[in-house]
Amino acid sequence: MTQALARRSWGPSDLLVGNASLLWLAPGLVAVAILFVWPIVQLVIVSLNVAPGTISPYVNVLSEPIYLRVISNTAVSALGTTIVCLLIGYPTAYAIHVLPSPWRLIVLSAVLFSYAVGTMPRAFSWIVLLGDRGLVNQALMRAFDLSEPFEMLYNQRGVLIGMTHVMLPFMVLTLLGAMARVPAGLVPAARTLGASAFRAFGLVFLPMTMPGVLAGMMMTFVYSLGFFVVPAVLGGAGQTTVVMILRDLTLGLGRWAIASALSITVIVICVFGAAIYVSLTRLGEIEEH
Amino acid sequence: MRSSSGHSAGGATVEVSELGKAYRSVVALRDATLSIRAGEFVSLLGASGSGKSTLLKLIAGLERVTSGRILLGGIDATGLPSERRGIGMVFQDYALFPTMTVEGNIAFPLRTRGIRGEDSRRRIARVAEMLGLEALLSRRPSQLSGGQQQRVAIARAIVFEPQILLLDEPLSALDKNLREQTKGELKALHARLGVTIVYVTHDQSEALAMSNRIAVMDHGCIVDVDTPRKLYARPRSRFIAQFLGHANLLPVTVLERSAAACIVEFAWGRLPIRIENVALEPGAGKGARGLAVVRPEHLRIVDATLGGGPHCVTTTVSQALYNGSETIYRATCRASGQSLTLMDKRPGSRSLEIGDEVLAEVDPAHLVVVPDDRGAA
Repeated sequence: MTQALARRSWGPSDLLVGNASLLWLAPGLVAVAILFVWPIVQLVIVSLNVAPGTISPYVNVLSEPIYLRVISNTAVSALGTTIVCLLIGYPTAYAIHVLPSPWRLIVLSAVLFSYAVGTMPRAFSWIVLLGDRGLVNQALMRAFDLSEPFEMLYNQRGVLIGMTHVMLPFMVLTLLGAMARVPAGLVPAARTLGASAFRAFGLVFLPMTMPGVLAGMMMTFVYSLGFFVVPAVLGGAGQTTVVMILRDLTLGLGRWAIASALSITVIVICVFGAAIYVSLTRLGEIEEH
Repeated sequence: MRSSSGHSAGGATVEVSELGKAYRSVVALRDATLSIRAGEFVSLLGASGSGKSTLLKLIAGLERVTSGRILLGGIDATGLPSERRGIGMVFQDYALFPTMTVEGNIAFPLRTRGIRGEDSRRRIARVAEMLGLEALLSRRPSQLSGGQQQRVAIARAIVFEPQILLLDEPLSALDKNLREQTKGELKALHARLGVTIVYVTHDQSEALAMSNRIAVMDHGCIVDVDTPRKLYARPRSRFIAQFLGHANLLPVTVLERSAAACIVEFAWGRLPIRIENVALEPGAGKGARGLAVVRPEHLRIVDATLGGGPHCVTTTVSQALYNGSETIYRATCRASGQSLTLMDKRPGSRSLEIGDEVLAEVDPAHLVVVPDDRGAA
C-alpha cells in the first residue's frame, strides 16, 4: 500500500483540492498586500511619526471640531443615501422581480444603463436639472404655483439626490439577487394558508430578502463614505466630507501627518461600525443559510 | 359543518364545471367537469402536461380561471382569492418557510386567521402529535429530512381544520420505502379527519391504493372518472386500459352480440364475453372490431404437455424478468405473432426458459373489450 501511495505522482488535479487551493488565492493576496495593506501601513507610520515635543495628530483630529464635523457630515450623507436607496430600491427591485420576462430585461437595462455614465458627468448634469431655474424647479413652481424655487443645489438635498443616483443600481442589483433566491412557491403557499397578498409579502417574502437588504445597506453605506465628486459639485460648505478635507490637507496644505491620522480614525470607526452591524443583524449567520 | 369531536373537521364538496384554462394560446385544461362528494378522496391521475396540476391550482385559486365555474362546499369560489377558499394545500416541494421554525410554519395559517395564544398552541400540539412532530417543533425546515418536511407541510395544511385538502404530488420527493409507508398514513389521516382530499399524482399505484375515485387526465381533459377497481378491472377505453397497469391488447372481431354476452373471435379462437365487460358502442354488432384487454395476471400459465382447452393460447417464451414476488414473461403468440406479457405469481413454481412453449389460459370472466380508438381524438 505504501508503494501504491508512493507511486502516485503529482498531477494537475492536485491544484484543485485541499491546501493546494490556497495557491489560487495567491494573486489576490499579493494584490491586496501591495495595493491595500501596504499603503495603510504607511498611513499608520506617517501618522505616528511626529517630531518629539509636538502634539500627536490624533489629538488634533479628535479635539478640533472641524474634523469631527466633517466625519459626521460624511456619515449623515452616507446614512441618508442608504435609507433613500433602500426606500426607492426595494420597490424597484420587486417590480423588476415580478415583471414578465421581456419587460424585466428592459427595466433592468435601464437601471444598469446609469453605470455606463461616469459619476462626474452625472453630478454636473444634476446642476442643470436641480438649479433654481432648472427643469425640476420650473416644473415644481408651475405645478404647485410656487413663487420661490425649492433649493436643491449646494445643500444636503442635492448631495442626497446625486449620491442616491450613483448608489441606486448597486442597491437594486443586490436586492434583485436576494429576491431571485426566494423559492417561487413560498408566496402562493402563504396565500393558500390564509395570508392576503400584502401579508404574504410581509410575513414570507420580505423576511426571505432580509439578507439582501442588510448586505445592500452595508455596501451602500460603506461605499457612500468615500464620496468626493458628488458632495463637491452638488453640496455646499456644510456638506464637506472627509475625502474633500483630506484632499485639501494633502494636496493643498501638505499636512500629511494629520491627514493620515484622520484617515486611520475613519477606518477604525468604519471597521468597528461594520463589526457591530454584522453582529447586531446577524448578517454572517443569515448568509450561511 | 365542523364536528365537535375535535379530530374530525369534516369535508366539503368540490364541484368544477366546464373548467378551462389557457396560457395565451396553449390550452392547459379544457371542459373539466368533476363533482367530488364531501369527505371523498379523489386522485387526479395523469402524465406530466395532462392538466392535473393546472386543475388543482385552479381549485386552489393559484391560477385564474379562463372559463367555467368552481364550487367549494356549494359556494361559488371561481373568483375568490386563494386565502378565502378555506383550503389546505401540500405542495410538491412542500414550500416550507425557511425563516420560520417548524412551529412557526404550523402556526402560520392560524396566525393569518387571528388564532393566537392558548388556542393556537393547543391546535399545534394536536397536529404535531398526530404527525409525530413533537420533538421537531423548534427546528428549522433546513434541519429536517425529506419525510419530516413532508409531515410538517401536511401539519401546516390541516392545523386550521380545512374541509378541503389539496395534495400536489406530496410523495414524489420521498424514497420508495417511505413512499409506501406514507400511502398508508395518508389514507389513515383521511379516515381520521373526514376531510375531502384532491390528490394529484402521476403514480398510478398511489392513486389506486388511496383513492375513493380516480379522475384520469390526458392532454388537458378528464378522460374518465371512476373507482380504482372499476377503472382497472373494467376499463372503458384503450387509453385507460394501457394507462393503468399493464394490458395485453388483442385485436378481436365481434361474431355475435346478445343481451347477455358477446362472442368475439381472437387470432387463435373464439370466446364469449359478458356484455357488461364490452365497452363497444351499442350499435357495434357483428363484424365490429375491438381490442380485448387481458391483464398479465389473468393469463394463467399452463403446462403445455397437458394440452390446452378452448381458452388457451399457445405461446413461446421470449424473455423472463424475475422480480421476487412474481416473474414476468414475455411470450409470442403462435397464431398471431403478437407479443404477450404473462405474470406468474405462484411462489416456487418452476421457471420457464427462453424458447419454452407455454400455454396461457385466458380467464373469460376478466376479459374486457374496448374500442380500438387509436388515432382518434
